[in-house]
Amino acid sequence: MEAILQNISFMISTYSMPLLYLLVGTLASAFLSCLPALHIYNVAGFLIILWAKVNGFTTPENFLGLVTGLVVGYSIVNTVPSIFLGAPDEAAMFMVMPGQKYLMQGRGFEAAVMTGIGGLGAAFAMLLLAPILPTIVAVVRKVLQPHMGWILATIVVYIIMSEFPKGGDRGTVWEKFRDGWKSIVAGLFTLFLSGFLGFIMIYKPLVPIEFAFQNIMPAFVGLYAVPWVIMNIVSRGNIPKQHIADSTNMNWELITRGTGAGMLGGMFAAIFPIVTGGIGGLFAGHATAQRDERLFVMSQGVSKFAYYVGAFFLLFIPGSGLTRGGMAWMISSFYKPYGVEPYFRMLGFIAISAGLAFILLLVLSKLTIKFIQIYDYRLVSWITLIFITVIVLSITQIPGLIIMTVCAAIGLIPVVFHSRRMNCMGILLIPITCNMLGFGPAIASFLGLI
Amino acid sequence: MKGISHFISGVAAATFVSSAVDLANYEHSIIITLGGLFGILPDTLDFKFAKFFQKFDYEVDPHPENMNPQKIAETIAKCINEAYKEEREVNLMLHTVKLSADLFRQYSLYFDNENREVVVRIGPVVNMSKLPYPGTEYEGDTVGRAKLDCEVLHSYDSETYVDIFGGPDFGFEKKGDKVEAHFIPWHRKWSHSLTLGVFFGLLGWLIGLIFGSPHAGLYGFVMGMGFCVHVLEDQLGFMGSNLFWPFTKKRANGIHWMRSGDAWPNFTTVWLSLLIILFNLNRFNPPQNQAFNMSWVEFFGYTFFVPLTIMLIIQKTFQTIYAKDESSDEDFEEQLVAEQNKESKMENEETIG
Repeated sequence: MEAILQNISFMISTYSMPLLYLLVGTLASAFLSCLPALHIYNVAGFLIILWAKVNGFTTPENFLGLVTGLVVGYSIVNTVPSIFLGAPDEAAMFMVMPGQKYLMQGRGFEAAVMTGIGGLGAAFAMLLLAPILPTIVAVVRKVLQPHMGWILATIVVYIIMSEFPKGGDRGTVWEKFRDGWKSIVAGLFTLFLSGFLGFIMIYKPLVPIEFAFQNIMPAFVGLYAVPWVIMNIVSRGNIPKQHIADSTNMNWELITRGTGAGMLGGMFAAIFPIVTGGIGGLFAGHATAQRDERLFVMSQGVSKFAYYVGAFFLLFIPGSGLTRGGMAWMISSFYKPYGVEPYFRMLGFIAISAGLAFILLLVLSKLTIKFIQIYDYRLVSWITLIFITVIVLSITQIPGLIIMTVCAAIGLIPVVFHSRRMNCMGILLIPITCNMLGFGPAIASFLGLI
Repeated sequence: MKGISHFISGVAAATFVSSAVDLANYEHSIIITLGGLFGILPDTLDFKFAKFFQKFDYEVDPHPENMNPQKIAETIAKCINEAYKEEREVNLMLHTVKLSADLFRQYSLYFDNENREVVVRIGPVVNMSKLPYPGTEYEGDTVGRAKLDCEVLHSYDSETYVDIFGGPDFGFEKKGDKVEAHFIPWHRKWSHSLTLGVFFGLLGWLIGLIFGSPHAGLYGFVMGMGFCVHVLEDQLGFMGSNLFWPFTKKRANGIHWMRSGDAWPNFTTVWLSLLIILFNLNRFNPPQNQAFNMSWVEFFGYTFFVPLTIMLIIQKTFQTIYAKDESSDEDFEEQLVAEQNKESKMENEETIG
C-alpha cells in the first residue's frame, strides 16, 4: 500500500506540472485556432524564441507539455475557421468544400463535430497502434528512405494524372474538349506556377533571415486562406441560419471506416516529407472509394489529426529518430527523447488534450455561429481578410505580404476554374522532388536563381 | 477499378524488376514512377480524349422543372428499335439533371425484357455522394414506359442511374434477334488493349535508344507492363476490355468479380500493392540494409491476410448489429401501425355503433 502511495505521489510530482502546461497549451491553442490564418507553428516558433531568450522560463518537459497542447488543440479546433470563416490551412483544404456545403445547408455545426469526432478517432487509433507503431515506423523508414526521390515524383505524377475533366458533355467535339480540359489546364497551370514560386522561395528566400522559419507561412495563407475569403466577399450569398443538431447521424461503422481511411492518409502524410494531411486524405479517399460525405468530412478530421499530431509524435518513437513536421523540427532543437517513457507519456498527453480540445470545439463552434449570425457574413470575411493581412505583415513584414499576394493570385485559379486546390502544393512538391532527384540545382540555375 | 488502384498496381508491378529498383535507388531514376504513369494511362486516354470524340444520334437532356419520364423512355426505345431495324449502331447520351453546384435530380432506366419495355423512373434529389435528400421526390409523373421491338442484352447493370457529373451513354447494336446495349461504348474500346501495351513498351524502348540510354529495354518493359496490368485488372469487372485491338473489334466480357467503384476491391488492391512495394524494395536491398527477413508467406500473412480478416469480421459484426437495429425499428413501426389500425378500427366501430 505504501509503495502504491509512493508511486502515486511520484507520478503527481513528476507529471502535474507538465499536465498543467498541457492544459494551458490546449486552452490557448483552442482560442488561437479560431483566428483565421494564424498557424500554430508560428505561435510555437515565437514561444521557442521567447523560451530561449529568457533562459528557459520552465523545464523542457513542461515546455513540451505546452507545445503538445498547442498542436493537439490546433489539429482539432482549427476546423472552426475552416468551416465557418472559410479560411483553411494547407491540411484542411479538402475539408473546406464539403464543410462549406454543410454550412450553406445550415449544418456547419454538424460538420465541425464530425471533424472533431475524426480527431478523437485518430487519437484512439494512435493509442491502439502504440505497441506496434515503433516496429512499423522503423521498417518503413529503413526500406523507403533511399527511395524518397522517386516516391515524391510518383506522388506528383499521380496528382497530375488523377485530375479528370469536369463537364465536356455538350456541343461539338471541340466545344466538349475545351470545356472538359478547362479545369485540367487550370490545375496544371496552378501546379507549375506554384512550383516555380517554390523554386524562388527555396533558392532566393524573400522573407528576412530572422524570420526564415516562417518562410512558407505567407505562401500557405495566400494559397489557401485568402482566395476563399475573397470568394466569400464577392459572392452574393448569405449563410443560412445554422442548426445546432443533437446528433451527427453517424453510426459506429461510419466512424470506424472514417478513422481507418483517415489514419491511412494521415500517417502517410506524417511519415513522408512535404506530403500534407490534405494530400494524404485525398489518397485515402480514393483508395477506400469514399462516397459518403459524412465519411469524407470525418476522415479529413482524422487525417488532419494524424498529420499534425502523428508527425510530432514520430519524434518520440523509441529509436526512430524521425523528425517530421514543423513542430518536431522546432522541438528537436532543444529536446531529444530517450527510451519508452517519453513515448507513453506523450500518448497520455495526446489523449487528454484531444478530449479537452473536442469539448472546446463544441463550445467555440457555437460561439462562432452566434458571431457570424449577428454580423453580416461579408463583413466577417472582410474582418478575416484584414486580420490575415495584419498577421502576415507583423510576422513576415512587407516581403511576406508580397508573397501572400502573389500566392493569393495563384490560389484563385483553382477556385475560379473549379480545379483541385491541392495543385497549389506544387510550391513544396515540385522543388523538393526535383532536389531529391538531383536536378533541382540545374533547374534553379536555368531559372537564374543561382 | 479506381485510378489510384491502377496507378499503384503499376508501381507495384515495376518493383518486381530488380534492375528497375536498383536504377531508382542508385541513379535517382523515375523508372518505377513510369509503371504508375502507364498504369493509369488507359483511363486517361479514354476520359481525357476518346470521350470527347464520341458522336451521338440522340441526346436526352431533361429540363429540371419539367421531367417527362414518358418522353425519355420513348427516346430510349426509339434508339433501340432503330438499331434493331436498321442494323447499325445507334448512340444515345443521357445528360444529368443539375440543380445546383452539388445537387442533381436522379433518374434511372431499366430494360424490362419480360415485358419488352424500357422503364424510366424519376428519382429524388441527390448530392455528390449520390445520397438522396428526404422529401425531394418528384411531384409530377415519375414513371415512363415505352415498348421495344426486341429484347436488350446488357453486360452491365440492368438498371442504370443517371445522377452526378456527366451522364452515361449507350451504344445499341443488333446482335442476332436482340439488341446489345454497350455501356459507355467509347470506354475500353481501343485504349484497353494488351497490344497497345506492347506498342507503348516498344515506343519506350525506341525513345530510350534515341536518347542513348543503356537501360532503354528496361524502361520499355516497365511502361508496357504498367499498361498491361491495368487492362488485366479491368477484366475482373463487368465491362471487360477489347484485349487485342486492333486485331479484335469488341470488348471481351469481364469475369464479374467486382465493380469499379466498390470500396473493398479498391482498398485491398491499394493495400496489397503498397505491401508488394515494401516487400520488393526490402528484398532488393543489400542484406545489411534489409529491414526484415521474412518469407513472402509470412510477410503477406501478417500484413495482408490477418488485418483483412479482422476488418472483414468488424464489418460483418457491424452489418449484423445494424441489420438487427433496422429489423427492431421495423418491428416497432409494424407494431405502431397495428396499434393505430386497431385504434382506428375501434373508433370506426364506436362511430358505427
